This record gives sequence, C-alpha cells and structure tokens, in this order.
Amino acid sequence: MWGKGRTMNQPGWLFLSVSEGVELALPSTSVHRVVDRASQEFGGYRAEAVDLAAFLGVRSDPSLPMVIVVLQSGAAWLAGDAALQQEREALTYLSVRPEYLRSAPAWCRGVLRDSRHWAYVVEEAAIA
Amino acid sequence: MPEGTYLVMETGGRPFAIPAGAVEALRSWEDLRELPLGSAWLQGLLEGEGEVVPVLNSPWLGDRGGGPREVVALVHAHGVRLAIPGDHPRLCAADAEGPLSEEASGPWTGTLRLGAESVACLDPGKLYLELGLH
Repeated sequence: MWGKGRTMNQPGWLFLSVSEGVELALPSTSVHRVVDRASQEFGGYRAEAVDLAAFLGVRSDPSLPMVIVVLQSGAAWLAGDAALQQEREALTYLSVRPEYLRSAPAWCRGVLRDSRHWAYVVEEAAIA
Repeated sequence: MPEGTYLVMETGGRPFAIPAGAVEALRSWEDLRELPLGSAWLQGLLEGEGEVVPVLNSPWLGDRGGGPREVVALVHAHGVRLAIPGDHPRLCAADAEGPLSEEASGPWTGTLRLGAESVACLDPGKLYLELGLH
C-alpha cells in the first residue's frame, strides 16, 4: 500500500506490526514517511534504524515484509509492516500505568483497541 | 457470594484460594495480551470493564514452571483490578480458617480447610500493596 516510499499526509494512526502478537500505534502526524524493503533507500536507513523487535525483546515475524518508518524527528524505526487506520471504526484508548512496565521511561502509554487491533501507543522519545 | 466461600485454583499443581467476594469474573487465558518489557511480576494484560487489567505471572505465586494456565480470575479490591492465573477453578466453602505457617509471607493470609485439603489463601488487598499498585 505504500509504494516504495510514501510521505504521510493523512491524520490518524499508523499501526506497526512488530511480532506475531505485538502491534504498535503511532500518530501519523509523527511520521514523515514509510520506506518499503524494495526501495533503494531502505539500505541507507537500515544501519541507523532502531529495530523495534530487538528493542522490545520480541521475536520478529519473518513472514512480514519489513519497512523503515522515518519519523518527523529524523529517527528511523525498523518494523515488520505498517498500515494506516483506514476504516471509520471507533478506536478505544485505554491507559497503561507506568508500574506495569520495567523500562524507564515507559515506552508505551496506552492501548488502542477495536475489533481488529490491540496496539500499544508508543512514547516516541523512549524508543532510541 | 456467601461469606466463607472461596475460588480455589491451582498453579503448578498446588491449590490456592481467593475470597469469592473479591472475584469479578473468570476469563480465558486466550484473552491475555503480551506486554513487551513488562514488570517482573506481570504475565500480560487484558481488558476488563473498559480498562487495562494487569495479569500476575505464575512464578510470582510460587510456581516456577510458569507457562499458560486455563483461566485468569479478575479480582477487585481497593479500587484496583488485577487478574490471577490458575487451573481447575472451582468454588468451595471453607470448613475452617487457620493461621499461616511461619514461612509464608506477602499476600498469603492464612490456610483454609477444604475437606481433606489445606489451602493457602490469597488476600488481594495485600497483593496490591506487594506490587506497589495501591
């Protein structure tokens, strides 16, 4: 859906698949662009990108295509896949108490859920 | 729930009891969601009554084996919800309540006589204090 590297211009949430059971959500306004593995630019970003699966200590899903998410801040994250929230289904936000996490600062602040998603809303500054 | 009634479950083959009045519901283990970089006592999260509920892990209950369980019991005390995993859930009426053995500590409050069984009883209120969730 992204072509070989598309700039974000739609407000909403970008869902990042990291492993079989872990999905993250990021405000699309924080995202500059998503670079597909097929893009020639992928290799250039790869060395500097934070591998989200390694950061979170989860097993990456080899069936996912792999993308680089380039943030407005200039940071780059390696994820299994990325998809914009497309349908109009209402998302529910549930907060996650920092005491539930052993990482400091807390890497997530809540959950966005609907019938298809249970995605952790990331605290961008905590992932580096 | 009548007083003196307990939800009895097992973890690692060892039974333990929770006062039935503190138990809101039983949920399937399949409802549990993994939380990467979760606290040492946390098995995962699930949704209950429109909020995220932390699920305690089995090793924290003294079961070193850990691993999936049949159900998680949603308990509520002091305004906080917590889910406790276990196998073979059943409601039991205690024949008698007695003090804990000296080596027991933390959230365990006493032993119950359930027929021929002697079962350690968990106090959800003390559990929250132990976890720093109050």
